[in-house]
Amino acid sequence: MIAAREEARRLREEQQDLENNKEHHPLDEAMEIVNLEMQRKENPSMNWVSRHKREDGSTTTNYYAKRRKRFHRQRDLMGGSSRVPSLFQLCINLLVENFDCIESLGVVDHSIRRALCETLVARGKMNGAAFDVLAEMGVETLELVDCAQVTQDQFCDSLRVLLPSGLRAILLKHCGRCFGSQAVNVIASIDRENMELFAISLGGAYLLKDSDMAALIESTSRTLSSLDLTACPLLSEQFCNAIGNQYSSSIEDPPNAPLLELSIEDVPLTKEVMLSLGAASDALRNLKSLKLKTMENVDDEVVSIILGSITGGEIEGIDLSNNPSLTDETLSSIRRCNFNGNLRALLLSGLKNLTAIGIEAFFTPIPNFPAPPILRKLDLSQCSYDEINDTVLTLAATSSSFKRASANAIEEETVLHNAGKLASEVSYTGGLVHLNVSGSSISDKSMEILAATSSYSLEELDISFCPNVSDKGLGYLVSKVKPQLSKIFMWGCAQITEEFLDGHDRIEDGGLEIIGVWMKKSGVRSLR
Amino acid sequence: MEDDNDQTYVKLISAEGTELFLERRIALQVDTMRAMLEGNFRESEESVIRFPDISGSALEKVVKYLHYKDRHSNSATRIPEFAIDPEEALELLVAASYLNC
Repeated sequence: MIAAREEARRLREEQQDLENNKEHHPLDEAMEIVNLEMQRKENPSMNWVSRHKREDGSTTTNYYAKRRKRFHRQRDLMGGSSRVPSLFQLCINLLVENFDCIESLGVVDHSIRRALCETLVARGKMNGAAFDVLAEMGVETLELVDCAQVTQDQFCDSLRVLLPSGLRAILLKHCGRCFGSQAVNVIASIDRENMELFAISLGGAYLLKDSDMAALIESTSRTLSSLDLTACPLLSEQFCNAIGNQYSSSIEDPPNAPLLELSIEDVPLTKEVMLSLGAASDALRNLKSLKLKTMENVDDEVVSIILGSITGGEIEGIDLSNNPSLTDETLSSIRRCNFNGNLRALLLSGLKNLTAIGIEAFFTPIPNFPAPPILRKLDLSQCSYDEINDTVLTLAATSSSFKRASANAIEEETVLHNAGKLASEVSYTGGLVHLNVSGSSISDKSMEILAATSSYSLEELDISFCPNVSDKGLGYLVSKVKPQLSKIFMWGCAQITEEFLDGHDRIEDGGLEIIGVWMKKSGVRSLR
Repeated sequence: MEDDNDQTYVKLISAEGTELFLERRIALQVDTMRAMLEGNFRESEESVIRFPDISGSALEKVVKYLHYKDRHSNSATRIPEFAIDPEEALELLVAASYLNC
């Protein structure tokens, strides 16, 4: 240990010698001031001054006390004490406590049924009888957050009653036990004329076989427009063939409903099967929303074929998160299928192979290629840290704020580096609404660009784990963006201090919720 | 109690026609009522809100709840329980869902 200390002292003395020997020029200090001024002009965020007055020589740096004060202040501003439960919650709790006594709910809104279901599941009171009450005849939407307690027989009995009386949507999570061959047979046995099922969403249907799924699609395709499957391990070829056959435009009598939403997550489809999904027929031509998440066999070729078959040009949302093999090629497929410019939401979280160059090219106008998309929701979180940088965000934000017609190339150098000039060129109706760039290397420069392009539109911003964003940048952003900004997520941003948290411009109005900075009080005991 | 010129109270009319009075500042804490009172509706001029879907007893219970909430918000002491009869719970739930309170 003594050796380490000697070593440190030696290094320190070397450092000091180095500093003392630097050559001095009389104009050094003046040059420094000039440089600083130039920087301040270019980066308006450096001039932001926090409202927080720092007490000189503050006596306690009791962080817990400070956090608690902040938490109370935000809670009080955002609608008073949350200690008084809402009337809605009180009634739900009472009903759930006595759910055994309830025979029938009558004509109640779906949101009430869903709230009851969630509370039943949370309290562990969901069972067969409760399910019967929730799934009464005449219900239009059957939404169960957790079907683990419902048996297959019971579920089928309810289906037999609900389907002919106008059930329009089935939304089930953890439905492995209750959704299998029997349920599909019940659905298939319903007369096609009486079928009004418009949306099916199944999570965790581990008993659902491939052939069953195909049968399900065949029997509901007359009206089914939205399909959402998560964690269904047995699905494969027959399922994709069924989609291809049932929704292709060659079926005319009677015409089937157009498939508008397709969402597949964590289903082990092979590459050939997915290629056939896109190539076999034009089933996906009317798609408005496509989600292919967490599937290891989705690669650039698959995405290109599938997106290529969306010939209707109506696509509004694309989500390709967490598919590890995707690269920049995907971006060009996305650009190509967006030839009508309807794309509004793009979620590419967790794609580690995307590069800065690829994304920059994605947002740059290129002759003979469809224009860059005008996005409202962009998610580039958890991509490679270095690749998501200021330039990428600048291009994304500027292209989202242009009006439709002007897809002209902008003079990149001058406009991009001068946030002030940029503000005068963009329209007030555009701009990003939801932005998630957590885990990236963006800095205060991006905050300035966002303030310039999206100040009338930005509502939610996620900059968790971005170490290069400082108090000044954030403070500047909050001061420039209009009050529709309601949430900022900043988990893991230890560099943000009370200069921003206690001194940003919207401390008083309470409309801005900052999430991820302080611990909430748990239970009755205070934080110590 | 009723002071139309000052407009410190608003009148709530239930489905059966029974009338209840509620302090204006408490009514403004409820999103739905605030929207009705602050917009360009007839309700805002007359300070009267009609609830044709909510029965008299349910509306009375809602007003009781609003007083309870107003009394105990920002209070540091232990908050007493608000008792609800099981028979009226379902109707009250529908009313609470409509009023968003």
